Amino acid sequence: VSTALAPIFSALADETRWSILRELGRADASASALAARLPVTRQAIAKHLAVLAEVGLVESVRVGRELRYRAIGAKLDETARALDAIGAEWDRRLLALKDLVERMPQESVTPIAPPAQPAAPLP
Amino acid sequence: MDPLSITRTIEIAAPRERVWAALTTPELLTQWLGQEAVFEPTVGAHGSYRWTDWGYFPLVVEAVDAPSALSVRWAARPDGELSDASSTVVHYTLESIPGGTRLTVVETGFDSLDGDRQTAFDNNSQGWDEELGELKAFLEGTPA
Repeated sequence: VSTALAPIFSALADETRWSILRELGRADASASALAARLPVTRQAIAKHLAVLAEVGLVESVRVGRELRYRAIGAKLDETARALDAIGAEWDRRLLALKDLVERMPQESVTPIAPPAQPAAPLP
Repeated sequence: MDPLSITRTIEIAAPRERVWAALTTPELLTQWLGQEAVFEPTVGAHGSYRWTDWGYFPLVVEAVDAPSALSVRWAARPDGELSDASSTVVHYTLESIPGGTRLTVVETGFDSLDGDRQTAFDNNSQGWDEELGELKAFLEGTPA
């Protein structure tokens, strides 16, 4: 993962932008067309599109007199891959945890007293 | 809904208390998570996990409800800070089910990170995050 992904994560952490990307994933569309399909004003759509364009998730293409937007799959792919790698790491850890706990003889488990209310700091 | 969170669930054939112990006891943490752990299940307690290859990752315990819920904020980078911009939060939920425990892990906070989450993690993983995978499928039909 070479590119800084944080701005992309940030751009994606928004329901409306997510919906816009879904729509654009189906087909290129103009801001007006998106506004007609989503419960958001055209102005808001334009703002969200600018955010998505800035991080390289969408680009604009002129078709006749219309400016249409298009999703760029490669960028999202990269983002998905990074998240997926972190998720895969959790899969591996949790399997190790499961294996550890299930192999553990009952008596070898140190009983852990649930912290009293309020929790007392350990020595 | 946070599309950028990571959620994983696993069922373990052991009572909740044992799973809880594995999540909160340094000697057990080192057997599945890192190579070294400084950890105390108390809200506000600072600690760290260490991986041989990557170094020390500071952490702070944010929520404790033994033996059913635990939230730990951990730095995204070795020796990193625990601000929103440089850490993520791991929420563990433990449910008793017939024959054992269902453990759910949700890691959140990727959207507020200020730099690349330095994944020393492999890229050769499988199984797309469901949400992203769905979107990816749409996008693969799209000329880039």
